[in-house]
Amino acid sequence: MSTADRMLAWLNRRFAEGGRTIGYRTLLFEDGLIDSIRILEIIAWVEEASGRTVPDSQISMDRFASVERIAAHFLERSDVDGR
Amino acid sequence: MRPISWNGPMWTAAEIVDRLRERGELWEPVRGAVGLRGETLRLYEELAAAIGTLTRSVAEEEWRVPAVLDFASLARADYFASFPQWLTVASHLSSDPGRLERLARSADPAGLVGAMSDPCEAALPPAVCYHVYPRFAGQRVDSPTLVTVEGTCWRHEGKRLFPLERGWAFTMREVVCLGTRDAVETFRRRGIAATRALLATLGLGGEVLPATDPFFAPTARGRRILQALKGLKHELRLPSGPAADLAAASFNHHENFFGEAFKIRLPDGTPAASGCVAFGLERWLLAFLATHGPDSAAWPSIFPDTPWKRTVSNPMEEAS
Repeated sequence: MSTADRMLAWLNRRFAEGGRTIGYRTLLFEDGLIDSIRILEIIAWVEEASGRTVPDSQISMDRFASVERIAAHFLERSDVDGR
Repeated sequence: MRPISWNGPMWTAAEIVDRLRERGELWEPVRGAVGLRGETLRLYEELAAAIGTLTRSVAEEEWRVPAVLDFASLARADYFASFPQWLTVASHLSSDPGRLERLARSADPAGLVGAMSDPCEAALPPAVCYHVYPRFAGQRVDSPTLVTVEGTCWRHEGKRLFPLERGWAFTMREVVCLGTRDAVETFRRRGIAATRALLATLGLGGEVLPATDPFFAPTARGRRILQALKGLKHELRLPSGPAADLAAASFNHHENFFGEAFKIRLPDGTPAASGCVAFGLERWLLAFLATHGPDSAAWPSIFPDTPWKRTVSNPMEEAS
């Protein structure tokens, strides 16, 4: 399982409510799915998985809108290419 | 902070304030609260009128709001978890005859006032839009609803206070919009365009940039990141000196935050979105003076015959 797969599984376990499923391209910041606490949990998860700090300045919609974008910018490249 | 581009010579805020004080046109009886008179007051009133005209041209209603807010409304707006660091509260002297007599007989009554006062009963508004949401509580908005309000706001920012630049008390003019998410975003973008048009009329440089609010810990980082990520806040930064600028207006999309908090609904029953465009009037005065200088002979005319008033009857609708 790639890091992106693990992230997706974690997000669905943690945040998916009411029968909805979060996919690679699900927009995380629509419909109030991610609030101000959850965004910090996501950042912490990405930091732990990547072994790198994610500075606030690096968090843009281009890089954080979906698991696909997060994987492309913060997790190993192979996580995206190999899924 | 990077300076906003402006090609002309600039005065510093300190130079402006010194000059106005020398002329007796600015005074500060309590740190953070300024009085104005003379030419400086006349200029302030013209700027306030120009901004007031801009906001009235889009808002359906203008409200005159009271000087204080109730704590319950601020709590409902989650203010105490958002910006409690700024709040100023109002109390009054105790009605207890013994306390009043002690005060009356004191050689230093000014030093005793705090100890002789009752617990605080009201808040001085940190932003005038907090007056608006409670008045729509439990109501349905069938179409975009726009209200404009002007009033004195209070934010205590400790050692950062400086006359005109950062007041404990200052004047805010706002337009609040309630409606769908898209309607609020359209309102916000038109507000930015109309404000840019006003800048050109006043001969001011400035830039509208993404911004975030200084939320209070512990949720500060998450709220700030979300605000930036979604592009919910922009600020107009005006030059206020050779290497300084300040936020003189803000353009805010609250999503359905206040709609949920105050149960303001759209026709389909979902929470209404809201947004506001806010102008800090003393900061516009400072930016104008820093750009054009403290002497009135150098000020460009912004009186009723200026072109923008003649040609732009409804700038928030016409600008794009």
